[in-house]
Amino acid sequence: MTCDERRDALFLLAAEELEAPERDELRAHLADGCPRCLGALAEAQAAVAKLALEIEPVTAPESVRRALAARIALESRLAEPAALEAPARGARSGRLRTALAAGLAAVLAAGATVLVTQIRVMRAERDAETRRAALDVIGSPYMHAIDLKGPGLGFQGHGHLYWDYHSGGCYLRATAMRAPEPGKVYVLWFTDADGGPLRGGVLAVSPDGEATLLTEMPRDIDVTGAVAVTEEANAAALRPSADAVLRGELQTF
Amino acid sequence: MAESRDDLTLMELVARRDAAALDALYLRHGSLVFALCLRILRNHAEAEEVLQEVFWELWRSSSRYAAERGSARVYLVQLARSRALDRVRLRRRRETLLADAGGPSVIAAELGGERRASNPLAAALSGEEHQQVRAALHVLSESERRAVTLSFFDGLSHAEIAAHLGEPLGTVKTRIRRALLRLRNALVGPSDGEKR
Repeated sequence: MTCDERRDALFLLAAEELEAPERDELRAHLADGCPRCLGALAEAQAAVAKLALEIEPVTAPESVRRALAARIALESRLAEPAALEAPARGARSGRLRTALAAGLAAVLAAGATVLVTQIRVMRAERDAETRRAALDVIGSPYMHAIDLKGPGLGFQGHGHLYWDYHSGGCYLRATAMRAPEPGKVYVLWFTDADGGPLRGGVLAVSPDGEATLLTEMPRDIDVTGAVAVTEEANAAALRPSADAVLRGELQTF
Repeated sequence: MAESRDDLTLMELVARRDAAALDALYLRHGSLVFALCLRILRNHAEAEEVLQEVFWELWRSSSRYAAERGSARVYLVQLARSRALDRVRLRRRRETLLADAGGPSVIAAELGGERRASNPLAAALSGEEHQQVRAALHVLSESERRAVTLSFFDGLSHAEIAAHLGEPLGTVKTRIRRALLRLRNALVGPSDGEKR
């Protein structure tokens, strides 16, 4: 068959109307990189896409436009802590070294008060940023709240996982959490489509028992599956190794 | 052509994580993508979700976009059609409502309440092509147009179309194939073999 003779078949392929074995033969030919047929396929795809122009355009909703902008903003906010967390301690200790060096100069120059103020400002800025992103998730019209409860038996922790299912942002806040045992951390888990665990991230726990995590919902979750928090010795664990200290179900989807 | 070049520039900017460029593409093509989603899904909320999904996917995977494989509009239409049809098929599988899905003739009525795009630039850019497509579709007979619509916009398989129209499968296959090639001739011209 010549490339000229393939032109009809290429149009049918672009319209997803070509059946095996003709389709497989044509795909194999395209995989060989025939420039003429690849060009004809692009032309056919453009023509097929034009069929959509038969429809009168309908004003695209502003709400979707805003949701996209919010999602992008959240993504960039989430990327920043992630970037800090992965080189984690290195980056943080680098910052700390800088801060200490600056602090020493400050001590020499103006006293320790300046350093303390700088560190407070840095922390306040970071906390405010996290709070803003968390509020975006909680305030989203597409937010779905999941109850998280402890197993009882003396464990009093409880909270919510807020999931903005348009942006994919997630914010977990639990209270009455006891501090994890020394050397251990709380890790959030989702359930994947095959029923396996999907790591969500490590919770930050304050001295007053508030545990929080701002993260992004993994793409391959089971939207009716379980959500759990476990206490782990290995902060980078890929599977939970302990019973859940908090548990909930996404359920409603 | 200027539109394609502008789109290409915007796609390059999106690949460099420029949110304003994505917004510009949304303003330019969002109404077409949304109309297509509505036409296929016939559900406003689902169409909004797919619209966002399409532009989000563009944002996340724009570095994989190959300009030589088609314009941004072609890319978006293909993506939207594919995602919307996935949902339709999933819905059908879940609810097994194929028999009660309703005819495509109700689509226009269901879209009646939507606001038509008021973007004059988009309207001017697509107006001529819109007429061209309308004219091309009028080359087809009513039965051909119906079969193509059921396939392209409703995502029905040949067997489903045959059942829907109460016609033999072979007849439907032949009709769609013939109709698509006639459309091709009307939209991009006949193949060399046909010219001779």
